[in-house]
Formats: sequence, structure tokens, C-alpha cells
Amino acid sequence: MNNPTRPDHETAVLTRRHLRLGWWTLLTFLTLGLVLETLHGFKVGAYLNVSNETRRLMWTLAHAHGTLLGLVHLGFAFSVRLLPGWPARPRGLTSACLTGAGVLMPAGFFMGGIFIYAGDPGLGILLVPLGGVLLFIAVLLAARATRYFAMEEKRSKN
Amino acid sequence: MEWLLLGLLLAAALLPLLRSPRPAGAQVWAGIFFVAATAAGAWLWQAHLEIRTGARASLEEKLPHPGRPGGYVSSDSCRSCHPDQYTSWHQSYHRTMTQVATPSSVRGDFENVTLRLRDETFQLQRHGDEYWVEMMDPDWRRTRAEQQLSFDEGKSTSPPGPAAGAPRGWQRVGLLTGSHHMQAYWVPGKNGNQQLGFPFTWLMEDQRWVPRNDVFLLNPDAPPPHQVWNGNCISCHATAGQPRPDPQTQIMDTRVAELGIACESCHGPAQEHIRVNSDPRRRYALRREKKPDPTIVNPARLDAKKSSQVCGQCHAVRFNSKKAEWLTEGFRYRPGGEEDAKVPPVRYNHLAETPVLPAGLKDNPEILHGSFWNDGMVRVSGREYSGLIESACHERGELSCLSCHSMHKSKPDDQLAARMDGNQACLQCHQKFEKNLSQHTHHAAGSSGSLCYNCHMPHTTYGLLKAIRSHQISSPDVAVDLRTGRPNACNLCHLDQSLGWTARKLSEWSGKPPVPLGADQETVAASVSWLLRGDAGQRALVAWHMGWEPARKTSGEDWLAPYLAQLLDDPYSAVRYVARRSLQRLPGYEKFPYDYIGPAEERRRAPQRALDIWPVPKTTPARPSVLLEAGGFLQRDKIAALLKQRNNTPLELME
Repeated sequence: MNNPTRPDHETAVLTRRHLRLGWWTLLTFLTLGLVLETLHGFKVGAYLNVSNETRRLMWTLAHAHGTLLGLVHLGFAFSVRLLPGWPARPRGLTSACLTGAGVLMPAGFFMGGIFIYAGDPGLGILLVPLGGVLLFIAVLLAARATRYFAMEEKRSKN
Repeated sequence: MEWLLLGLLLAAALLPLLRSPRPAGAQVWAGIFFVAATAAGAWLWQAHLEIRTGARASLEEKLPHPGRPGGYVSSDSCRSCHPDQYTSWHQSYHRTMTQVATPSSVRGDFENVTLRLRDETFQLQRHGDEYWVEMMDPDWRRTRAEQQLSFDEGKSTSPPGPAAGAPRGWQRVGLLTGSHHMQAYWVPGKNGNQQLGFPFTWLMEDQRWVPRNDVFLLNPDAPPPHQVWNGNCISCHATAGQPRPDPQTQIMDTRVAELGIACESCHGPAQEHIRVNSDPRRRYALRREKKPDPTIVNPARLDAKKSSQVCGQCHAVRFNSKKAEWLTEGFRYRPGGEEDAKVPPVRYNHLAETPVLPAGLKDNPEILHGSFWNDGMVRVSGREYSGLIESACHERGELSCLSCHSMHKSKPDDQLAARMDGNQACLQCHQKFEKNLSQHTHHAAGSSGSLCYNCHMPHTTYGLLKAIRSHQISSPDVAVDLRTGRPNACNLCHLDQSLGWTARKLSEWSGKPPVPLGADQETVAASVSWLLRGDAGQRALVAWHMGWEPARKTSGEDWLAPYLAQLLDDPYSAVRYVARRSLQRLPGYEKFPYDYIGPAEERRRAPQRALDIWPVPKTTPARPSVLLEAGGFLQRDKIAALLKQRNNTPLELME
């Protein structure tokens, strides 16, 4: 709120970055979905056997979280354009947190499924709660930023 | 590698945070905190995983090793294509026949329990997910038992040393057997991955520990058992087991396709089936064409004889003449093959025609009386195939195990297929009786006497501390009862009627002359006679029927207590157990305090204690067949005379 104005260039950069991140993340994790489907089709034991249940769960979660976070990136890119009053600093922090979460959550799940210890996932699973915290911060900041809608509306009426 | 990946991912995620506009000190500190928290978490998580995997590895070293050659892949690989069948199998007691001791499998109480058996003490404890017993060294214990046996048999002149000097220690429980009626436990021996029997069993119904000998119908003087899982139970309580003792050292390197009775026990090795069906085109083509897959055996598609042999590989009395081969290779039988040609079932009436049986067995079939009645009908549970193959319905018809049972569409208890718990089971072939059932059964429709099972498959086999239906389809015949001593279906329901009554009824229905009988057989209820004069097996069967609801309804229950009370001091634990359970089903005895393995003195007093509370009204009319005089007085002299005729031949039923 200290500096409600920001150059359009920054908005454009941020929008481009998250559009790029969003679409590439979607592509990556939809591809992962195709890979998982192929593992199903060919009944690959390393993915489907009962002893690899943890891997299957982790990779399914990686696919789901990656895909959803790709959509969140796209949502963020559009939000940035819709909220020109959103100050640069919280907006930048939101972007950074979202980018971090977009890496940590799906990659954490995926890595947790590469190395499995009987019923336990590997160390990668530890990245997931960190990603969760970053995602929480990003969503909180984005939710708070929606108040700039009202401010923009008031300004345009005046 | 795992740590490197973790670091790279963390760096990739935090980089944008650090590069975000005007990073404030708080952001830097947050970044440091994240890195530190992740490193600490990873270290703790790895330590936790190492402890878990380390503990599991040390346990697994002493367990039968999973995986064996021969194309076995285990049920691990089956679920992805056959989820319904996997689920129904997973709920079955077949799967849980042998399990590793874990909190999800152990039913017994290990919370600081102390057990005593003769001169030995056992301390049971649970440490987290592990189950431990403080006991005499199991190998030492086994050697001592062998020395004792040798001394008892006169082969050795010196008795074993006292238990007081035995080495003791904590043993981690490795395997367990059973999950339905009782659960037995195994501790590691020193010989490779040998698992030795823990001499107590957990009884599910009673929720208590009892010595292993006291859950079987065994000679009361039998020494405590010393079983080795790898050399005995493995043959039927695991899938495709191979004991594999080292010929020189006898050190065990046992392996199994899987613990418990799993998919490949009935369907055969599945490696090739999985390999070819990893191609989705093949799977969909097979489904479209509705063709059976030649790479796997489906017992439901086999003929009655071969499909029954799949069950019969375990559910039969067999003699394995190729023990040495079995020890190294395991059984050669594969579902769909001819098991009976490889390891023939012991057929009591066809011993001479079975070439592999040892001469001693052929010349002295009494050895088999722990498994068969003396007309060849199997008398112990778990050997249903031995009954089936002696049934005309199987020999001349299409009756197979799968005619009534289903492994995947049934409740786990008896695994009976839908509607097979009633007359439909028989009527699916014997349709001619459907319209005039009462005419055939001579009992009112809907009564227990009009159930085909009750006359043709009576509960004349014994096992698991109860009577179980015979799987040899037969018809009541008093002449056979006289020859074999096996209680007939009529008198197991009409407990208050004599053999003479049954003989006359059967004669009336069949038109054949009645079997000539002695005076007692004409007048005394057959159940009373078997209970007082019979061997331990007969006593257990009659005691069980005295608690069987249809029999109590048919025969009245007000006269049963004195006879069940009589068995509370029976020398056989199993008989006492069954009698106690039936007695506690009678009105007034629901809470009758009695411990079937309690001190001998208390057991001696139990029959009188039970008689003291017998609620027989003084107006009771005389019932001569059950030796009851008017006013509820027992004919004690007659009872004592029958007791004197008791068959005390030692009996051990090999269930």
C-alpha cells in the first residue's frame, strides 16, 4: 500500500512469466498424466503392484497438484492484469511464493515416489509441506489483493 | 542422490523468493528457515526410515524369504488387473493363514503378559510394532524336548537336564498362523530362517492364551509340541513353499512365493500371464472374444475332478513319498495338473492300490484312525477333499468343491457361494426332490430335518474345537454306525432317541428290515451312549451337538446339563472345552464359572457344581431313554455302568 502505482512493464513481465509457467507446468503434468496412463495400460509393476502403492499414490498426487498449480499460475497471470492497483512488493512476493509452491509441491510428491521405503515415501515428501506453506502465503496475499478491485471501481466512478 | 535432488529442488523453489523485488530481511530469514527446516526434517525422516527399514530387515532375515523361481510373482502383481478378486481374496482367511507379526495381524495379548507351562515361564511384551517373548532358548528347548522323547521311548537312558538351567532370552515373534478361530506364533531358531513354535495359542472366541496341546484333541499325556514351521506348516500355509535345508548343516534357507494361501496357490504361477497381458491389445482382444486365457489356470473352468484337486492339494490326507524332493523343490503340483497322480490322497479303503504308501501303513491301517473312521470316512477338519472323493456325487457326477463354494463371491467364514447354505446346493442337481421334498426327507418343510445337509452331511468331522460337516455325502445307516462308531445324522439331532428308534424309522422309510440291536441300543439314547461310552472323538461330537440349536429344539434341553457336566472332568482338554461351551448355552449356565485348563482339583469338582444348579423341575415325567426318572432323578447306576464301558483307547485327531 506504500506505493500503489507500478510501471505497466512490471505487470506485463509478471503476466508473461506466469502465463509461461502456467502453460509449461500444465504441459509437463499433463504429459506426466499420459505417462501414468501408459504405465496403467502396460500394467507396469513398478507403478501398479501392491508393494508400489506408495509410488502410485505419490505420482498421482504429483500429477494432480502439478496440473492444478499450472491452472493457479494462469489464474494469477490474469489476476495481475485485473488488479492494476496491487502494489509491487506483495504482488512480487505472491509471485515468488506461487513459483516456489509450483516447484515444491508436485516435485516433492514426484520425488517422494521415486525413492520409497515400504509404506513410506522418500525424502522428497518433505518438500510438500514447505510448498504448502508457500502456496498458502501466495493464496492469502492474492485473496487480500482482491480488495483492490473495490478501490479500482471506486476510483473509476469518481 | 536423494539428498542432491532434494537440495536442487529446494534451491529452485527458493530462488524466485530471494530474487523477488526488494527482498526484505524477513524474506531472507524465511528462506534460511525453510532451508534449515527442510534439512532438519530430511535428517529426521531419514533416521526414522533407517530405523524402520533396519528393524524390518533384521526380522526379514529370519523369515521365509519371499520370491522363488518357477514363474511365481506373488499377489502383488494381480490387483491392478483383478481388483475385485484381489479384494475378496484379501478379506479371506486363506490370505491370513500365515502372516508376519505386525499390529495389523497379531490378535493375541502381548501387553506384559506372563504365561506358565509346566516348569517354564514366558513373558510377552509389545515394543512399538514389535512383539517379543522372553523364554527359554527355542533351540535349546527343542533339543531338550527331543531328549525327553528319546528318554520316554526308552531310546536314551538319561533324562534331559532341568529347565532351570536353560539359557533364556528375548525372541522377536516372526510369523503367526491363523486369524479366524485361533492364532499360533513362531519365533526364530538359530538354523537359518527356521521358525519354531511358541507353545501357546491365542483363542479368538475366548480371548485368552492356552497351551498349544489344549486346542487339539490330543492324548492328555502327549508332550508339548515342538513344531518347525519350515518343515511342516509351509506345505499348506504358504504359497509354493520350498523348505530348503542345507543337506550337510541342516541350516534352513526357506523360501516361498508368498506367505499365506494366495492367488498362485489356485491359479498357478503367473509370470507368463503377466508378461503377455502387459500388452493392452491382448487383454482387450481376450475380453472381446470371451476366451479363456491359456496362460493362467481358472479352477472354475476345469472339470470337476481337476478343479477339486486344486483345493485338494491341501484339503486332503496325503502321503508324500518324495520327501527329499519336496524339501529342496517344494511340491511339483500346479493347478490344472494331476495332483492325485503326484502325491496321492490316502484312501483308507484303497490302501493296497496306492503304490507309494509305506508297507507299514498298508498292513496296519489303525495308524490312520487319527484321520479316518474305520470305514474310510475322514473324521478330521481341513481334509474335505478326502471326503469328497469318496462321495458318489463326485465319483459319478459333477460335484466339485466349486459346486457349493466360491473363493471370490462368498463370505469369508465358510466361503459358501450364494444360496448354497440351503437345499439349493443339492437341488441344483437333484431337482426331482424339489417338488416333494417332505416326502423324501420325512420332515416338515422348513424344519431343520428337511435340510439336505443335516442328513447327508452331518457334523461328524472334528476340528478347531467344534464339530464340522462331513464332506463325504452319505445317508444315515445304523449298521454303519455299529461298525464304525460314527454318530448318525438322525441321532445327532434327535439326541433323546435310541439307535433302535432310528433303525425302526429308517426301516419304515426304506422298507428294509431293521438292524438287530442290543438291549441298551434299543432303549438308551444314542447320544447318551456315545457320550458315556464313546472315545474322545465321539464324546466331543456329541457334546458339540448338545449345544447345537436344532438338536436342542428337537430333543429338549432340560436333560442335557448332567451329561455335559459329566464331560467337564474329561481327560481330554478339547472334550472339556466343547462341553463347557455347550453347557453355557443352556438356560441357567450362561455364566457358569469353569476353566477347561484350570487346576485338576477344580475340574474334578466342576461336574457336581454344575449338577447342583441343574434347574430340573421335580414334576418332570420319567424319560427312560435319557436315563431320567420321574421327578428329575438320574439313573446313576446305569450311567456308572455305561461309563465303565468307556472306550479309553488313546486318540489323537490329526486335524
